[in-house]
Amino acid sequence: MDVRYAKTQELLYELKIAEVMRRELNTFSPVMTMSELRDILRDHRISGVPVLEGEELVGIVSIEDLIRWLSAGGEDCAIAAEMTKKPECLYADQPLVHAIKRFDESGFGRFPVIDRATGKLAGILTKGKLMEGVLRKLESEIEEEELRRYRASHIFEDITADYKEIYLTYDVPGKDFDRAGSASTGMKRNLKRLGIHPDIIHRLAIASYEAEMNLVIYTDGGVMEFHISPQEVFLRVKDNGPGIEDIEKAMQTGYSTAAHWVRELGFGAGMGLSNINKCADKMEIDSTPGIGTTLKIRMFTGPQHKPDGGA
Amino acid sequence: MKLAELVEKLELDVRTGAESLDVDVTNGYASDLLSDVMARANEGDVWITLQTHQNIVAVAVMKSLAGIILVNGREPEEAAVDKATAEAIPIMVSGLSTFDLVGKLFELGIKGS
Amino acid sequence: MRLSEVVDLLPARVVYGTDSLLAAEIGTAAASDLMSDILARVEVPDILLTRLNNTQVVRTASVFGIKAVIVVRGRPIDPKIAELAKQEEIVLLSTESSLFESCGKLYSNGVRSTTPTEDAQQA
Repeated sequence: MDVRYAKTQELLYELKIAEVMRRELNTFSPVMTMSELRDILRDHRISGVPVLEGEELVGIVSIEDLIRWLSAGGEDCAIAAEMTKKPECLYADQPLVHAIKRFDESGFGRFPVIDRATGKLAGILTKGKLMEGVLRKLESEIEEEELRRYRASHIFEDITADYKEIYLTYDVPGKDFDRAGSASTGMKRNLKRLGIHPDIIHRLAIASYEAEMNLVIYTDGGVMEFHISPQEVFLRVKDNGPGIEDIEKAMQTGYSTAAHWVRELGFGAGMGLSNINKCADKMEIDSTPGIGTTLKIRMFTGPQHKPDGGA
Repeated sequence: MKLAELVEKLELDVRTGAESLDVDVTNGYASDLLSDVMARANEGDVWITLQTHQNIVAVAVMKSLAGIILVNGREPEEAAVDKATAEAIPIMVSGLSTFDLVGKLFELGIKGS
Repeated sequence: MRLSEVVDLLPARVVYGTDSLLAAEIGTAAASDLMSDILARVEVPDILLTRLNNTQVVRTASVFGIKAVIVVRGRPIDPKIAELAKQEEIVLLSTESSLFESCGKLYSNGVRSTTPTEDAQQA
């Protein structure tokens, strides 16, 4: 429910009035009579119409105006005498949240909507139309995401083969500190879509991010390869040097060879490899100084997966 | 408030500089970036950090800080202990995180620097 | 308390945050300038307070599942960091207050830390 509530809130900012307003308009000219208005409102089951002189909006007349006219005796007259003149308008490009605020503040039931570029009447917005637009959009967006997730998480069931695997790779450039981490955050989204257990995603995202930061900070870049099969997610991180002199030492919490600039950016505290080890179900590291390092991380997603488990 | 009182109230373990706890502390500085502490901490501040290497002692000496509190149960590295002992700089250890420790200091009336 | 109340309390400037994101209820926080220290924790805090103002603060929040980042001491925030916060849907706040004052005020209003890492306690 929370997600849907948040989504609705977002939509109120995202959706523009133009997307939900009524465009097919009955319009009136100011010289038409109130009795004609009564017939049209009744026949078309609408609650108000804009009044135009040529193409210019001069007023708006609603069922409330009609009732007031009727209770005052209902003596026929031109609409111009009973309509709200120079009505307050909204612009078609404004977000819905603005319209809601105006409805609240004014107590009006409808607003004419003007196209900002031409200054001409583009439609009319009622509270009902607004609500309908939000609901329609909400439904389609949630369906879309659920469908995407459904398709992805069933990919292994829907496709038949003796061996099934999704293989995704990312090239990680070295020393590009701003971009660093984008492979891991992107992969986190992918795994969500694939319907992987949230606990596994959380641990893999941390391990993957620490590994990616190591590539960026210590090497000239490398490759991250993700193999997703029904049994596990396997990540291989490969670089071409400089390599790790003493892996045992490097695994110790607090041991670091990081340069000062790295520490000042919030990394290099000597916790990266131990964090990876803690998060992974299985971790292997091979390194040859001068040649390069290969780090392998496994997360079990099959029956042997324990939801509480770290290594 | 005397540093010794803070040690008692927050149940800090004193690792070095026990002879230097009889000083008044009114302000605190929380940071894990040495350059930040060098640039902005003031004389007499108590410094809260999770950095444990010997450079923290050099910073504390240069800035004349009242003492260093290590958080998350971290222990000072050996070289840091040696240096701090030589310089009579108090290094204290707390099992609390930076957030909670600073919160408690704040409630005891210690202000940000 | 809600993030919108945190904005009033510190006070802070909203660098990125929609009304719905700012309506999030928060109860826990972590203060650190070392991202691996955050990532080593067992529990995920709702907010991260730091003096760092680089893109990795937002990435760390995204990787770990932290709702909001508060950059202290009014450090300038590059537009590309704000853009990343938007993309990752992480609330980004900036306050003139120090890390110390910010933690103190939040603590006084009932916000608490998550458990620090077990490893660090053994170290």
